[in-house]
Amino acid sequence: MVREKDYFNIILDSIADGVFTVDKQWRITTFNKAAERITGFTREEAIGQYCYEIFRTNVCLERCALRETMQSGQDIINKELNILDKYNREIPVSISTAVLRDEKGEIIGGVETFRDLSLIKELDKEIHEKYSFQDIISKHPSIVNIFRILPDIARSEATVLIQGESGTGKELIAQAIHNLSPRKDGPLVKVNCGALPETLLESELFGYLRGAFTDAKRDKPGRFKLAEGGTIFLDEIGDIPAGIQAKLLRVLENKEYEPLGGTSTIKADVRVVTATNKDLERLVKLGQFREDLYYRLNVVKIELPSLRERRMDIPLLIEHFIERFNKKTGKEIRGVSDEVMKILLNHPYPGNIRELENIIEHAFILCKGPQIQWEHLPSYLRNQKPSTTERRSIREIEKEHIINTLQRCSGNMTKAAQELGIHRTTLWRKLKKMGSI
Amino acid sequence: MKVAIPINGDRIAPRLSLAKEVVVAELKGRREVGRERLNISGLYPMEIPDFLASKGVTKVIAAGVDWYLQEIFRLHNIDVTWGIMGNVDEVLNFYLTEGLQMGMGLCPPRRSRRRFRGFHF
Ligand SMILES: Nc1ncnc2c1ncn2[C@@H]1O[C@H](COP(=O)(O)OP(=O)(O)OP(=O)(O)O)[C@@H](O)[C@H]1O
Ligand SMILES: [Mg+2]
Repeated sequence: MVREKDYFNIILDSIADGVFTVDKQWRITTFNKAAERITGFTREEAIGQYCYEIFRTNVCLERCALRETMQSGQDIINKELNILDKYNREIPVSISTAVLRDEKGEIIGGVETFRDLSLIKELDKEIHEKYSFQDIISKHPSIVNIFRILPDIARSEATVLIQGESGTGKELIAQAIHNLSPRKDGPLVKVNCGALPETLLESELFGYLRGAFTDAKRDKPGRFKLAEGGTIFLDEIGDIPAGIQAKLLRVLENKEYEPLGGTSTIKADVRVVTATNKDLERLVKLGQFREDLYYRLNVVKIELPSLRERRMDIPLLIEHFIERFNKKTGKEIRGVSDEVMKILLNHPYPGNIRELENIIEHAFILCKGPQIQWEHLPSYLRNQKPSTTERRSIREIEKEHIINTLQRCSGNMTKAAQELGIHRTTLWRKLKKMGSI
Repeated sequence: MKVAIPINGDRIAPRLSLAKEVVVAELKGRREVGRERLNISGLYPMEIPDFLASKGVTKVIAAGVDWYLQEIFRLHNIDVTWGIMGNVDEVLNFYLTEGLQMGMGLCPPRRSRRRFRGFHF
């Protein structure tokens, strides 16, 4: 005969939602199978532990729903929060809580049920959000990860270094950081450090006082001054000459600088965001870039993959640019032909997203019908006659990416999911869809 | 070397990004030679690695550590051992005598498999 307690566990384990109970000291007393699956902790690991050490939500210690329930006696239903699972992944869950009383009506603990929303959220996103954030379009895991941390990065005052090939969206990221920051109402001042010779760049950045040199008829504020209270975006930072590197280091370390011809220092209240398409670490090794400055700039590094490494984004970006040019030109182009898609998916894009954008813009000028055709492409693309090999669909590209990642992680699903920036169950679902398991 | 442990009371904080305090222990060989308790409640999570680096910390022992923080710790050359739960003194002691394993959970680990106690209605 099944004992009552076992029976109770069998019932609990058959529930699809996670369920756990705690005693009045917040020690876990029950932990069902679904709870194991969602949190990654086994029942053995969880039982007897403080619930907040296992559950690790974003509200545990401050606004614990279970505590509120146990204090007020009121149930809470379907409250959304996120937990950090055993493998450090944030999982959105919906929780409900209730108190547990003994026969005399005394509160002896609490019960919480929770549902994993990551799958629902993911599907939701696939349909609605179209993988965009602050005008940046991508579904590539590393960029989606950037979306996730961007608000945090923006809120901090940390200096940011954005690294990526030409046309990968460095400026877009800089703009997004500014827009999401507390300085958003201040100015965003851009300086292309690669475009000016040393002396000009120096006066451009820090300004000069009247009489600093013969032509200096009046004071000229530098870009740092113009960016006061806002953000300065130093593009092509890898190109700045040694003399200015030293001055810049001083701004970053002491938040002050001296304009040319000046003797007193000026305080700078400016957030610094920089970008480069060069490998700064290599420039440091070659002695062309100050190491101390590199470390100052590299507090937060955002690396943008090339378009070659994120081919899965090509169809999304095509759609995005078509929409944009439709608005701009009043045309009603609905897409590209299969043949064009094939060419665009296989092109190596040395100019990255800017190149793709230019290609679509070029096609818009020539295209009179509803669909972009082969003959609307720039000639350098038309010369690469469409190959007869079967077209690489987006699914195939994604599959290849997933398989490569899995191989790199020696088949470890957890690690691979982490690297891909998706949840374990999402990876599982994708593999299943691909027929790999 | 200096080891930082985010804490909640006398136990390791469940989630580093939400911790209000850290213990920074200075170790010489297998001995603890100094300890301070630092308030980090005013920092954004993103700023914690930089702050700890400025204190000379080269290792962090913690329970849950959001992946993006792990990335930033890496940038600061701070080694992170996550997935450790328990009393700070016991954990430090265990670290010095036996060594920790990433993701080991409760530390020191339970000796015998405790029987499932269940909930008694
Ligand atoms: N993820 C993206 N989604 C949508 N548009 C993008 C994306 N990335 C880049 N673009 C577009 O591509 C163009 C180039 O981007 P951006 O100027 O930010 O690149 P960059 O890295 O600064 O290039 P460079 O190194 O040449 O200065 C812009 O028109 C931008 O709007
Ligand atoms: Mg640019």
